[in-house]
Amino acid sequence: MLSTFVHLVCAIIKALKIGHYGEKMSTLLIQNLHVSIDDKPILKGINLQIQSNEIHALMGPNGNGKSTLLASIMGHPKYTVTQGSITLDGQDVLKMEVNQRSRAGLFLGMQYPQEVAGVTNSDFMKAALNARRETPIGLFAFIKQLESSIKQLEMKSDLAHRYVNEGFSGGEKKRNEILQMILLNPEIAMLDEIDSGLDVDALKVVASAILEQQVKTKMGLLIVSHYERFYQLIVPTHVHVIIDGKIVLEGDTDLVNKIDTNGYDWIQTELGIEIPKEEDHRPVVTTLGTCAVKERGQE
Amino acid sequence: MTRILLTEGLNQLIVGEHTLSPIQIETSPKGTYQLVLNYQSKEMIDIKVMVRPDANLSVFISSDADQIHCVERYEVYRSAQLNLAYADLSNSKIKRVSSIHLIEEGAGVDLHSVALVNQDHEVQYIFEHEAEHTTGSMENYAVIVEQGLLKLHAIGHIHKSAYFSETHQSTRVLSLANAQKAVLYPQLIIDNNEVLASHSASTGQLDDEHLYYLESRGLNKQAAIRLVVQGYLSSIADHIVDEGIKQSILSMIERKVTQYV
Repeated sequence: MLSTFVHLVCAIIKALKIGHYGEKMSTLLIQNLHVSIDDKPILKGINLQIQSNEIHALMGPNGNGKSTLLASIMGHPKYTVTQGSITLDGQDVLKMEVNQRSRAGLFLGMQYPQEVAGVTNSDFMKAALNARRETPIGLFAFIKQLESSIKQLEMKSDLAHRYVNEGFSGGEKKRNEILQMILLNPEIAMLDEIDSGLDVDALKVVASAILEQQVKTKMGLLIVSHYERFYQLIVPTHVHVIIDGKIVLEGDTDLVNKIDTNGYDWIQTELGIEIPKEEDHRPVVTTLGTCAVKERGQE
Repeated sequence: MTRILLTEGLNQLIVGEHTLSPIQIETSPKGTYQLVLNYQSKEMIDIKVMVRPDANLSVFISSDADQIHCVERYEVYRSAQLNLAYADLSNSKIKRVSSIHLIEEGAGVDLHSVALVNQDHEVQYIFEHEAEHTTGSMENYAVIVEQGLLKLHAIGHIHKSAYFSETHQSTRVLSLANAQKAVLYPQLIIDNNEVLASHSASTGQLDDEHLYYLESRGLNKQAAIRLVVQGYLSSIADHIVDEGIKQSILSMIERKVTQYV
């Protein structure tokens, strides 16, 4: 009797997660999120809900918490959540390791993707795919999938054998992030300034690949971009403006257009809030030790 | 003394307790040669290899004894090319001096070494550019595990007579725990102004941002570390000509990484 009841409850929960077209419906819920770096509060009470098939644009002046929000959702160790909650389909994301968040269905396309020398793209992606499978992916199926995505993103065919992001141009790194997103097939993808470093043609290719994946899988999207052009290619269903660690305005594409035309100063005046100046939290990239290089013929 | 004249194609030599040292190996002028050397002797190994004019020799060296002590001297003659690949993956205590003498015009060497260091490991790789238009490229990758102690001297010496020569070297060492130690001595000794030369060396633990990036794609921490370590060591594969040996070394690397990381 009890087991019948449990099965019934499970069936109802499963049914609630499945949409009209049979896709899994996912919900990322962020409530009253406060985040600090080195005891300095950056996010001061974020509330946000992203569901499958929704495209959320996150806008705001530099240094007001957009990237911090995305990195905190993904679990970057530099950020400390001091208050609030993040759940994905009811599961407590804050209790998960970074890799568990990925396997649960979250993806972050990073603003500054890391270069990992010695690890080829193909080995990396195969390992990432196998991490979410019970049995390893077949070599043929993997190569077919990888080559199709490389073609879709108009990337160089030797990508599979190159080390992860090493020696990549800014645009190649961003395409590589989207390639990973397509292969990993997340429930909710967060893209942090994925359009920066892309020329006009590359922007269209990348936007088209993101859209195609979104339409196919109905994944939810949380996109950080400063540019209206990108939001013309991927039209958001929801727009949020984050200032000083809080979402202060919400709307639709009209809000994107207004910001593109007038900047953010009007928000300051209209809402009577002050926009803090940007502090640079970006990582310092250092390379140890190439020296004593002498060009031929020079003294 | 043991003298060996290489034939074109694949040559394999196991250096055991009963191989008479010193060992002198040489190619004929011209032709393409492969030499696979496996050290199985605890005794001091003394090897001299001569790459005759216009010959191309690829040497792959691995070892299986508990303790290896070897002195290798390579002489590369006019327009000849030496490709040297070292895979130190067994649990050996290693002491090696390998000096490559580019003694005639147009001689070149390309050296690639990988090492999984879990014991005392002291090596010296020395390029001696003694003639004009000689080229040398050296890449060393090492991963230190358990109680490993690495001392690595990478030396590029361009003599006064070696006009328009090039020597480049890079060394990357990864340690997986705080107590491990690596001492690197990258050196360029340049006695001629008409040259190109560069060196780089880095040592340290895995970058936290790299691990975060790999983990953000679903790999747990151990899998992420293994992937990076395997990547470091597998770079040797591009420098092994024989496909069978290449596959066997890649399998060995996978086993070792699983064992130690």
